Amino acid sequence: MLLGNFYYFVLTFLVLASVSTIVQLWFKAKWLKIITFIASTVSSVLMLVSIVLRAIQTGRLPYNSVYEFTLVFSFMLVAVSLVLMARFKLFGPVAFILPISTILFAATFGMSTEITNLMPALQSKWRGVHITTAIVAYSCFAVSFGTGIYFLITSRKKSTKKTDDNQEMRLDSLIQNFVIVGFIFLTLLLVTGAIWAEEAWGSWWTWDPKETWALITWLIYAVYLHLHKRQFWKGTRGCYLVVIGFLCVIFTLFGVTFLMGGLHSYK
Amino acid sequence: MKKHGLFKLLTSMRLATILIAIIVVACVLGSVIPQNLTYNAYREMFGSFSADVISAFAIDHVFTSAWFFAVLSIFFINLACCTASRFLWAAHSAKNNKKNIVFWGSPVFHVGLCIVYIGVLLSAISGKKSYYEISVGDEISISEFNTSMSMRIDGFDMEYYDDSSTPKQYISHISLSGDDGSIKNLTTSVNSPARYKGVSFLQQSYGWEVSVSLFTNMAQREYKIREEQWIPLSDDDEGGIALGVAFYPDYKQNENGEIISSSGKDSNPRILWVLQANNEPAAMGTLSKGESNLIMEQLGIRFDDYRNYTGIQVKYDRGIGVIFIGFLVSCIGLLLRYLPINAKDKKK
Repeated sequence: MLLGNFYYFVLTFLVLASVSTIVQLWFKAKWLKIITFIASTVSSVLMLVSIVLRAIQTGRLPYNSVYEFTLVFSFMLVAVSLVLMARFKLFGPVAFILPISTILFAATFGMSTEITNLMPALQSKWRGVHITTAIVAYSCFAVSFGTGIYFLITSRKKSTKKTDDNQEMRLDSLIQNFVIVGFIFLTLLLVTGAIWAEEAWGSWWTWDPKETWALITWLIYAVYLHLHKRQFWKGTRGCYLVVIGFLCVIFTLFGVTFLMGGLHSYK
Repeated sequence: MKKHGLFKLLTSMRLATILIAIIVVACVLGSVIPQNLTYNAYREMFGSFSADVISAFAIDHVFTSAWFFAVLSIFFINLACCTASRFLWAAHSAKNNKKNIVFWGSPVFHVGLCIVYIGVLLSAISGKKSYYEISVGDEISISEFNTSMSMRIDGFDMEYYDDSSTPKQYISHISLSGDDGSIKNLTTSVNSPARYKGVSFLQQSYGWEVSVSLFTNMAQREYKIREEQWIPLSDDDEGGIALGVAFYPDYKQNENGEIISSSGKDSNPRILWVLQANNEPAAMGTLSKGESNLIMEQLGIRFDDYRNYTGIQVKYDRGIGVIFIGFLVSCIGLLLRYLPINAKDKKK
């Protein structure tokens, strides 16, 4: 395993970052934020090094297997968490994003890391674009999910303070913006996938389980974007939709791959 | 702008949400429940009652069922009406703020989706698709694609990665011959379909065709076998005598004594023949090209030749272009809808 030298090191830092950011929800100590930030930075740098080394070793973008995809997905979540902490001073939502990244990274341990040659069907100019859009879309939905969970938890102990309302509006807006970016990339994912499928299989849509679940995810986020315009669906109700949407993302990514098979089964 | 009656219903978000919910449920059912199985298979899996429900609601073929098509059609009408309504709203809003193009994003996005649906209908009505497995050197007619042409496979190549025997690409060389004597040479490979006069030729599969002869002192009969095949040598189907033939392009016996093909290359081509009597192997042997064996009294087998066959999908579909235009319009709509907002927010 290429990542072997780094694996436990990275995992340790990710767990440290996750634990410190979760503890920080109760104890608002500055040193916990510093630990979270430093641990996240170290783990993201090490993950990036691993991804680059893997890319150099394989001579292509590291998107060829579930292992590589999960590794890049996990890295993206840490990177976005760093941006949220550094740029927006948002540590609360990160408490629910970093653990997702940690779980994803830990899950790579059980995945095949074998470097295999690309089969003919995967050698397409659309491959890079298609999988990149998937990583960006899924990362955005993961961030909106983490922020949504944080919103749901904090809104339960809602006070009448005006500052809390402002914070909720800010979080709601953040969730919406990440869903918008995710939705744009998910649309591109479906479009590029359709064009590629037409070239490779002669059918732009086959109701393959992966396609079908990507469509389900797309429809759920489309409903969210439509309903979110209404006051009734802002805040808590919208967050429930975002949570459902991300559960569909996870099922599309892992559930379909390991339980259903189909044309997209590249384990 | 007041909306009344049916138009109000058809442009309502509530109807759209209900339809989307039905589509989502249908998609979940269609992906979770195995499709296109027999009633008995569903009964074995889920029990009689569930099998009855699956059969009654066409859940065994959700995506090709009439009710799913009906839901999609109502959704399209809803989408079209919403789009018309949004265009009116966008035109009204644009009057007050001519510089802001964000109003057009949503209508353009929905127009794109409507175009996709029209493309799907066009595909369903006029699209044609056939799959052929043709041996190298053979020719077939493809007149069903309005081309009055025949397709010949001139050659088939497999490219391999430098460091292994893993296939890198499958390539078929095709020549299309017209009634007027014209010949068009095409090359198709995986992910790079050949196109001619609106007809696409896609590389889908490949395999080997083996020629063997069974002979006695009196007669000889030729067989062309693709993959593995059993040839009955007696009339008795139950427990009779049959000859099985399998082709190994790169024949090798592994450490367990099992016969395998080391690669897809024809480096060491051999056939394995197995004589079966009463469902039990009675005799077996391997043959290189040109060799022959006596498989039973007065009956011999000879491995005459082998060649590749290629699986080509031939497709003619005017709807595809429309669908892709719909995709493009939808993407433009999304960018119009959301990018200006982000830019505006940034300025703030």
